[in-house]
Amino acid sequence: MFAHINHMAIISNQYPFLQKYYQSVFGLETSGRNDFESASVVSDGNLGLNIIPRRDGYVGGLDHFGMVVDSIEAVEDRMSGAYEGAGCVKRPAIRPFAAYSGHDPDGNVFDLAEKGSKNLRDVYSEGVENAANCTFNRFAIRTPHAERCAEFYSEVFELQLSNRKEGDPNFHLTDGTMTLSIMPWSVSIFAGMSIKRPGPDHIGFKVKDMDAFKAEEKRIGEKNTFLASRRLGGSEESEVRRELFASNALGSYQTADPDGTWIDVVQA
Amino acid sequence: MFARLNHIAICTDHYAINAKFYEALFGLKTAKNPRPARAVVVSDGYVGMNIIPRREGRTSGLDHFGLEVEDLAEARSRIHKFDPSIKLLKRPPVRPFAAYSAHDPDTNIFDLSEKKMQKDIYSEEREETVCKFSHFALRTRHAERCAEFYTEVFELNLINKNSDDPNYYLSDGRMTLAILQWDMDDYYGMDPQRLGPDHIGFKVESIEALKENLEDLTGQNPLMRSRPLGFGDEGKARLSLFQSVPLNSYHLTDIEGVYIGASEE
Repeated sequence: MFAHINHMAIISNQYPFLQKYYQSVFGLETSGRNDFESASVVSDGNLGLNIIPRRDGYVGGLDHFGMVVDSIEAVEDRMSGAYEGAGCVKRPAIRPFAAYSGHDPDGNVFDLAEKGSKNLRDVYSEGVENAANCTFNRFAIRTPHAERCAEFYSEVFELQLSNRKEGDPNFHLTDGTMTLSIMPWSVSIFAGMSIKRPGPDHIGFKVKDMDAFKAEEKRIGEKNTFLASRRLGGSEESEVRRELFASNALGSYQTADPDGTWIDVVQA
Repeated sequence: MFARLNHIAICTDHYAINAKFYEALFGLKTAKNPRPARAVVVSDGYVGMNIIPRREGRTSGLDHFGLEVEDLAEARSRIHKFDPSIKLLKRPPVRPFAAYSAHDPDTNIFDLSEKKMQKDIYSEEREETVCKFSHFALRTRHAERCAEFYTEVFELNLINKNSDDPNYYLSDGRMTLAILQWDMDDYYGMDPQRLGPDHIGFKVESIEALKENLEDLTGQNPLMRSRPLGFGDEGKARLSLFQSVPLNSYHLTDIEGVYIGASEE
């Protein structure tokens, strides 16, 4: 494939703690060369999740994703003029992943690096094994012009549109391993709850044994309550939120990390 | 004025202590009948700020603002006339402020209400505090179009600005809505910030007194600390972008990093 999604980022007020959650519950591995002054990184061997300390002026939560491409020059050529509102900017050299940051026609931000480039460091250049058999499989965005954005990722990055189930309003694009889901945003879908702004919505994992995963998630949360997943549902409004998430999920089980970032889990 | 900006909302991982920070540093007052499980609401006597616990699936940070209008039906009609694709959503009656939620052409979200519909802090007669909210700033891709929207629909007045300033400032006679131009090129030296609310502003009697109060507050209670700004190359780049907005003479954050600009009366 011309591009593959190999990076996601969460911004958190408790970033080292969140790293422990993903390590323990999903069995993700850290880099051997963790930079303790910067973000915590975990990986499933294919994709790295940067858990970034929340800096002044930023919002906490699921923040962006990143792709490695065969040629950044080709990306710039394809974007140029064809997609009004899309663009990219070169990044400082210290980033372990991103050479460029770009955004789609709706302003959803992504990082870009070129295969084999010097920017790929840490877990992005290491072969990290995943012992727990949990792997990332999805990054979902909710955005006002979903069809237009799906065209953008399909034409610029050659991500392949997957067949949709009848009645599914979302667009699912794959790099062969990861799925980028583009879901339509409209204020009307938030009836009965607070409005969520457009942007990253949730991440997904594939697990080999769903029952074993749930049992392990429960055991860890009871042993160390700081590592307990957030409960979904309960009050009237949180039930509405839970139902919205479930209705757009591809997996059979939905949970949330200790910060509240939604996680969709699918049986392999 | 047809509309006034009198509601701000922050979603936070530490809603109770963040509310204490605003009470302690800016002297804001809480509602007479609080609902501690839902949110903490603090007010300067004109603007109410809901400090909401971050719920699952949501982000933390400055979240939205709200407008009280003279005639809700007229506001809805004007929104439709400006852009028929913009939808409004009626809200559950439990909300103390909002009757409807809507968005501008760039999907920046705001709540809408009429005076008679408001509850709690928004319906109480309150004394004004010494420190007062002065502005709500959002950073968006089509700043000019959004400024037109708030001017035409809500009759907010455009304030004069320098010819080289890419931002727009609109006033309800007291509060300013700052529409800042989002540009990817601004983020060379730092992580790109997502579109949406950027910072809030306060008018204070004395910046020097505010700085002294902040230092004293942090000494008394180390949990109530503002984030250090301007350290390291990226910190400098972030602060520089914040400082480029000409409404603020002093820059700080709340305990979770939400930008606060302050200026003297």
